[in-house]
Amino acid sequence: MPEALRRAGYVLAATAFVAGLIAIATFVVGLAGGEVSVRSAVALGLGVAAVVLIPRAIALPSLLGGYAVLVYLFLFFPIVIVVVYAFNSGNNTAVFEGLSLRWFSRALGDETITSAIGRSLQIALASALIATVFGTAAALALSRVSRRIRAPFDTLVFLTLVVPELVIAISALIFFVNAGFDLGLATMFVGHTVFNASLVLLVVRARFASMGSTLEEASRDLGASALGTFRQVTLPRLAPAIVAGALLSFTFSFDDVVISNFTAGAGNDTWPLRILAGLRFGLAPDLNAAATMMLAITLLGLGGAALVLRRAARTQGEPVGLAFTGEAAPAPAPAEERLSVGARG
Amino acid sequence: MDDELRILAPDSARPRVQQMVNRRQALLAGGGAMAAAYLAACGGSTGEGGGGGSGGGGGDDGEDAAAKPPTPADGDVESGPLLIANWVDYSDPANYKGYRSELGPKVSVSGYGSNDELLAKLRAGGSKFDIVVPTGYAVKTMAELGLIIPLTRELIPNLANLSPAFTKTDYDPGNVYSVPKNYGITSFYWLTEKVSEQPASIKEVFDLLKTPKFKSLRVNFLEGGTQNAAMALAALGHSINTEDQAEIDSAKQLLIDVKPNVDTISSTFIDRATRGEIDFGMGWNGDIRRAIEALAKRDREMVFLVPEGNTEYWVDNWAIPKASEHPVAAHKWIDFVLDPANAGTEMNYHQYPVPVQGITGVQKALASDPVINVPDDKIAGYESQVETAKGLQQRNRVYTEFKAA
Amino acid sequence: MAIASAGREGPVAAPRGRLVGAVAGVALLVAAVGVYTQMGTLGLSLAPALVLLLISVPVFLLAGAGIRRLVGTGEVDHAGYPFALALPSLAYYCAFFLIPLGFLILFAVATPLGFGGVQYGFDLSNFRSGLDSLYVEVFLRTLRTAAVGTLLIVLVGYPLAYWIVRYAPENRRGLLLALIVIPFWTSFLIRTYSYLIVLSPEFFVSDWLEALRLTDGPLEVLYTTGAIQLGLVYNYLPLFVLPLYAALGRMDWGLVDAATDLGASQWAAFRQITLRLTAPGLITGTLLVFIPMMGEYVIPLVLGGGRVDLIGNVIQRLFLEAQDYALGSALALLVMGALSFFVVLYLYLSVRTEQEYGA
Repeated sequence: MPEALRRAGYVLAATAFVAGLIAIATFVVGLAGGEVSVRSAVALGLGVAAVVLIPRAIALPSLLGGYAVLVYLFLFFPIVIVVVYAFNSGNNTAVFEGLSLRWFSRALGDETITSAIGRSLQIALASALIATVFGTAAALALSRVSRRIRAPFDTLVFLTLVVPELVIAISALIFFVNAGFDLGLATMFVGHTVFNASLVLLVVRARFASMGSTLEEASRDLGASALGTFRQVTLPRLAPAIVAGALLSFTFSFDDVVISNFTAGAGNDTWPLRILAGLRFGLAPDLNAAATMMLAITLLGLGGAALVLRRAARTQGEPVGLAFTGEAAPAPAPAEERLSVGARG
Repeated sequence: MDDELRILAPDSARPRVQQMVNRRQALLAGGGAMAAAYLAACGGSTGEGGGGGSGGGGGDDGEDAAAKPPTPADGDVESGPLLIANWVDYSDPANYKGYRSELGPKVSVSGYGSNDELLAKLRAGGSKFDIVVPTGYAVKTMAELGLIIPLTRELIPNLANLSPAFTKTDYDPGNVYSVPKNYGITSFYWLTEKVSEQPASIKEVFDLLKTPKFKSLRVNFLEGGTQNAAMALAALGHSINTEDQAEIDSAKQLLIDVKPNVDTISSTFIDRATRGEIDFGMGWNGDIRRAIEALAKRDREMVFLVPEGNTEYWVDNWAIPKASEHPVAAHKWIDFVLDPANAGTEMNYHQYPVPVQGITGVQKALASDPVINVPDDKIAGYESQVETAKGLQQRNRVYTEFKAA
Repeated sequence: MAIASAGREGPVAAPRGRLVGAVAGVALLVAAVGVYTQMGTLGLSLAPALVLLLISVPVFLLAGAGIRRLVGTGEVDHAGYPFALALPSLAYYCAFFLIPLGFLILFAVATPLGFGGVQYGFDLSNFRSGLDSLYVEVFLRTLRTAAVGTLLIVLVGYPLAYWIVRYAPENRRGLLLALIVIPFWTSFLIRTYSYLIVLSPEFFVSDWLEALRLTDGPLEVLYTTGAIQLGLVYNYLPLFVLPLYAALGRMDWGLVDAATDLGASQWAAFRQITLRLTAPGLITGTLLVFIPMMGEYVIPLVLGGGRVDLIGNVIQRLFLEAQDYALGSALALLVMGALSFFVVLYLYLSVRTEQEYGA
């Protein structure tokens, strides 16, 4: 228990520290704008006191830990609102009137919602698949290639990330119509994958680059085939990044509004488009309920995936988890690495 | 010149829309149609709202009409689904169900928020809607661009129910491409508890908006360059369709002058208005009436101004896009909603006046409400919008400057 | 192009063979682009399209191997991967990104005819209109908003990433990172609209702030630039934290320990070692957030109440309302040009990062 109290204390301290910083910033901005009031001066005093005294009282790691809690609260707050209001018995979205499950049954019974979610799932899965395959392949091919060949490719990839989504959507639409594509799931899938493939490419390549090629070279030296090396040496170590890229692709595709809006055609609403249609009158509680259910499902899925990965890590001997790119395992000296290549994998 | 459009819209049908009819007559007669509806509601309504009207007009006989001239498809109603692109929340779902039970095809509805959005989707092609709901001026544009097809009247026997004034609209005389769905006006509304003044015209509204008091009130304007420019032009006494650059600049200046007191520019406002979160705003009479009713239930009063002088008057229409894959079913839908009982259902739902003669089942309060049943002498002074490429550019520019202010 | 990667090891083909290889590679690419773009005419739906794209990978590999044999380069060098693996993506980008962009450029230099129609030609007047002071002003405002938003994200996100890398228990790291991403498994639209509730004057947040005397009355930040700023920070935070985490994770913290052992203060060690070494990662994360922010238009529409216009809104309106595809395309190209400096910076930094940490 005292541990929990101490942690809470850190959070409070972090809050005070951040509040102090904000007070100072507000005062400075106000000063620049010519508005100084008693209140902001008082706030300034308190703020300076907080900023100066707190780091002296509390060690940096604990303070940062408290701060992290604050950030997570900030991230989750709107989500909590969405979930809580999904249970709101009233129609009013700003006032909570009571608990009720009626919006959930409404959402489940609404065929437009369920079919929209279904379409989004299909497109997102397809897009994640292709993006992962194409992106990983390209990342592998490009990592060990000379700069001269890689530069134009890199430019292309970064262009896909930099061009505003709206512009991609419009140009894609005009192109599809001209090339005779029927607007629908396939066109949305194609539109999403352009961005997603670049995402996977970046994520995988960063990880691949930091992995180093010594293990693979060793494996080839010892006589393994290219495919075998890939399967047994490269792929397992690259797996976290590939999974991360796939997850990111799935998320972006599932959540995409702009490209879908233009390339959906008639009657092919994806989940974001369905929300957009429903939101034209303001936040709709049945959409809140549907979103809550989606969140619950993804959390379950994520939890399950985490369990599986943890079990896999135990058998593989390397901390896998859901870590992202660039997280090399604590790097052993190269000599050690070469000797233990068989044992660790 | 339109041949260059082949890239985007391969078809180049360009019928010429001819006569400019005596609009005043049409508008006046429109008012007359409303009076007729009121009388019908007064005299013989058998209940409120009416369900999905069964046994309406010629709705169920479409399939086996004997001597039918060639139609876009064969004479049978396709199995659907019927894809309707409509403004959001603009038709009664009960009618979708009624149509399905009567004629078979399931109805699937897509929403959009502006004529321009609809136009963009149709122009780019690929969206195979069966029914779209363009406003009058958009009908003209779409017809000229070949995006909608001429209607086959034999498939719409209920067309006879349409009020005569609405068969001679100036954007589509003779209902070649479109059938009026409902009409309405654009004006302003406010909460009486916050605004005690009573402006009587759009000009007075804008004068009021410039006063310092409005800085603390929550003011909402509609989105869209054409919409905002129209209101400003009406306030200044110019035609809302003018292309005179000086007049447009003065409208722009007026908008920029009131911008500091405008809090939001959003067409997604009904929810907020219904909760009383907007003190003063621009809106359309049917939507506002819903808000007025909701607020009245909570003892709060909101009023909608039916202005003297000029304001925008518009007619929304049913039309069938060229890309439709179920044209017969689409025609049958139009026939279905022209049935007096179904028209009544529609009107009770969206609360805009529907120009169908003999309309039945309309709630009394609705039919007699002056916000909906606009007096003839007022309508005579209103204008409806005409869209040209140049005008569109000018208004978009005005809007961008208004937003950037 | 179809030749195996240019590693230090491995034989290289004779110049004439290289030319043949390159030509064959390009031909293969063009064929692939053709097939991809014709997917539509074949009327392919989702599943067949998926299959087609998937089988193109082995097809490329085989074709690549075949070309290599034809050209006579022999074995691939040890740690290299055949370039043919990059071709599916390349073909995909050509078909579904470059070609549509080509249309855009075509439209930008065309003459507008109204209602979305254009007359193809070479007309630079659209660019001149796009450089009009009105659009420049909106662009600068967008730049300011995005800059402030990015700054806020850096200030908020950096300590978080630092804590996760440095002080958080190692076995919890995956979970902590996942927790950053989980909020984004709800829809972006719903999250943004939920801020309408959070910032509403009728919600308890406003009441508390008023009670604490932090505001003079009900919360008034909704429908202002402040609300947009908040929405931007909220929505783009993970995009910054994750790459930053990756960069911080690659650093050798032993250096910092050594510095403090030798007497440097924590702050000095941070400033001179951590910050300097991870600067590329920091800048990368910043750009990854800043650039998309510049094109954002949904958040200003929702949280700004439509009152504040960013350049994304202007472009969207040009396409959808004014239907001036020519001006819209020109303006889009101008914005992309302005951002290209940042793109180049990003490119340079990621290359440098790879060189430092790569093979």
